[in-house]
Amino acid sequence: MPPGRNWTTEDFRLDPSRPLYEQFTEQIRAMIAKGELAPGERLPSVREMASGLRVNPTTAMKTYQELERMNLIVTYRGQGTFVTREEEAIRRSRRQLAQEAVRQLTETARSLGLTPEQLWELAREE
Amino acid sequence: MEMKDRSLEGKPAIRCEGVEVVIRKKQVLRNVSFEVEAGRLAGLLGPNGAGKSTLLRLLTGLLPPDGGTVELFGRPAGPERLAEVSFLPDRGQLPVYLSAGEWLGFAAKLYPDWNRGRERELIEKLEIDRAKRIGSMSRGEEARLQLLTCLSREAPLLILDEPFTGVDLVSRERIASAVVGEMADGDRTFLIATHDIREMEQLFDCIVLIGDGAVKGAYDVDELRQAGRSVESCYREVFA
Amino acid sequence: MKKWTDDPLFALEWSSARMALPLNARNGMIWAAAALTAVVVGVLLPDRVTPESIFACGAVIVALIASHYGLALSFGLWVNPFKDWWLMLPHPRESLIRSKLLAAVAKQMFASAAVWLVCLLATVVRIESGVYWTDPGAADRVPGDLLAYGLAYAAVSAVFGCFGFAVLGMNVGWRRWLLLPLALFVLPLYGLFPPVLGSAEAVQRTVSAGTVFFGSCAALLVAVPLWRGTIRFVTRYGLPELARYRSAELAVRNRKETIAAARFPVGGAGFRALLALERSRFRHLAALPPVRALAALLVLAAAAGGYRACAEPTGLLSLLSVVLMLAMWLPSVILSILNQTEANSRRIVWWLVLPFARRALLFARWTAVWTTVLRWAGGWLAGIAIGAAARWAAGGSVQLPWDRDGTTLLYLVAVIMGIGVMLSGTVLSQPASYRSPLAAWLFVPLSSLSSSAPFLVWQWLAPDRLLAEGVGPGDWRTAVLCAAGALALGGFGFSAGAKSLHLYLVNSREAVQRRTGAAWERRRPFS
Repeated sequence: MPPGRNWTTEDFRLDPSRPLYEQFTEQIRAMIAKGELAPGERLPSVREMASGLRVNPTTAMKTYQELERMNLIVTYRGQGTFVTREEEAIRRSRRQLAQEAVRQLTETARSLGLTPEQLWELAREE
Repeated sequence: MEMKDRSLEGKPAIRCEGVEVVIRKKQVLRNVSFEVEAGRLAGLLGPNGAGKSTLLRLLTGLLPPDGGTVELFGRPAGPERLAEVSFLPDRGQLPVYLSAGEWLGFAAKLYPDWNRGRERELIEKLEIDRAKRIGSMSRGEEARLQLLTCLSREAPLLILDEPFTGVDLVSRERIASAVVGEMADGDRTFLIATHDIREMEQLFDCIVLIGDGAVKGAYDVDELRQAGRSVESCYREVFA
Repeated sequence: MKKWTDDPLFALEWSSARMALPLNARNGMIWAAAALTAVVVGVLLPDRVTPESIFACGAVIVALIASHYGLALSFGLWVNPFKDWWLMLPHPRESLIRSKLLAAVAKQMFASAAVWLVCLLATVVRIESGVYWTDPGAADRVPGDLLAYGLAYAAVSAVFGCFGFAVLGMNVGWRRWLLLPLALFVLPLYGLFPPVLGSAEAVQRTVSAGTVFFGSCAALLVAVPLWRGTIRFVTRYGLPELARYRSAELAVRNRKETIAAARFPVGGAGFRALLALERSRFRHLAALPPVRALAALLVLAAAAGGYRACAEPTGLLSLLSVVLMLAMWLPSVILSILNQTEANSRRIVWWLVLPFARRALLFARWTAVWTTVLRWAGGWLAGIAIGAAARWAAGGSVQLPWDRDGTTLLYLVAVIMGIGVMLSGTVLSQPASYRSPLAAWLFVPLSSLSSSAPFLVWQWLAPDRLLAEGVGPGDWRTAVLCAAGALALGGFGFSAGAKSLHLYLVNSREAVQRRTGAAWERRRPFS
């Protein structure tokens, strides 16, 4: 099976003050949730990822381990790592992303002393 | 195929304790102690003149310390252990009258642990023109050739002294990718001395900060980041 | 001088040039030690050597120092990291070169003055100790000699300094061929020592004060246009090349940027590969056209010499001795230049980090140099043989009293090669002089002795006597002594050098200049 594309530094935005594997995990999860990574698509190997992104292979390994723990990716011995085909897992991650976005919205609303709905109205006001 | 030396298991790749170096009455290194575990990519950071190059020469066994001990994989460092260390000198130069291919021909015979397969891979990856005379190469090209010479060996410890100084962007990225590629098997240890932090920040497992001939701090990079600090901010705190 | 030191360009050049001069206590002592050794050598010369011969010898030395310093400057400028800054100084190009040449020659004047003093002291000591009892007028001739040779030394420094410096312009294209006539001017200097020290009537007439005085005046007259010409030549041809190319070497700078096929087959792995690497340097140089031409010329000269020398019975033997002496001395010269330039370049770390024992590294270098020199010697011997054969074929007389000269030759070969081995071992011990100040003091007389080796050996061996009388049992005893001494001293020097090889790292010229410069600024005599 031919490998898919490899990641480049353009694909990620990193903050050097936070653990890198956490950021990779979040952003890859977002890619899966948005459908940028199709279910069953083949991912670069740990070595390819590390080499392409110029990060420590340990970081790449931890990223994949986390994603696997979240059931978002699957590794088949001898064949490679793939995005899960499991609809449920993807839907779950989409829901998590949505919850995260809403939480941030609520926080912003609270800091302005509004409810989320009022915030929404305020934003659409001209 | 090399047999892994079982006696190396568990020993730190590099261990310095109380190292002192005096060159012509000037104290260049003072009570330097740190450890680098095997299989990690360590950064040796510090401003110019901090003593990084001297420390690296000690690790290769070229210079004996005036005090303290230096151990590689549990045994003392010295010139007889050069076969276990692959060293990239700072601002070094390969013979200018040879072509890249000729130099590699010599290198294959000079280094007992040369790996032809890796050499071929890296020639492609680093885009080396075998026919080009070393004297005609730009700095970036020569830097890539020098790195290739270091990486095509199977030595368990690789020490790179300022691999990026004066090297163009694309060459730098290729060099970093090549270094990472060599790491992935997990049985090689890297120690990279640089003051170019932004390039390497994402690669380091651990860092040792050295200034004025003394160790100012040694950190595990993941722990640093868990605490919300970046390598760059840590460097600034210590040195600025 | 006041006007010149006001010139900022000259001041800049002088600040670097003066660091090796005996203007502070430490350098003064080093110069004094070397000078003292030379005086001792001069005093111990055979009695028949006249004061004029000593001074003439000094003149040859001055010429050699001047030309070699000029050469070293030329080569050094290519690899000097300051080169680009210097080229960007907003001054006329000619001024840049002029101040550099001026500083170089001024430095030479110091060396010439030192040599002059040494000759004076040696002569005075010899006169006082009654060496010249057969020649009562010797003492009276000295003041005249002093004057004449003082002038001669000045002229010679200037002229030969210009020659060496002109190499800067001879890097590319047709100008590379100019190196040939230059070599023909400089190389024969080495061969001048034996005749100059001879006591033949013709020689003494040439080196007498009167002849030398007029010769120097002529040389000074030549020096003025030569000076101007050199400056113009280097400015016009040398500077643009300096600016254009990033890395030095005459070797690299021909049109070939790529070398498709590997030129140096590497036989085996390990030590053989190391040896092949060391030899590749020489093989590369030998393949360059100017070098090939020079080599051919030298072989032709050998053949011509062979042709002529066969006329006299001792002629062939003398010629062979000359080749032997060269073979003895060249390896040491080459090794010392090689180590010095390598030490100051950025290649040395790669060399030291090769996974070989240091003795192996040094041994490979030593072997490579010796095999190269012996090959050259073989070529010259072949040339001589061809010359002799030509004479024989042309029906001329070829005097070869073989059985006697056979043993003499064997003796000469044994002794001279032994000395050669010893010398090269001593040369390799140079890094050991960095270990401690005491070692450095020991090394200075050693290296002065080794550079005057051929000269000493010629005097001491007295091949003329040997040729006349043949080899006696006493001579064989000295041969055995030589062999023992060679192995001992050479081996010891070799080991000492191998142990201290890493000291090159902290004692490169750049590192030393940094320390010395700083000390100079703080006015401390010992850094």
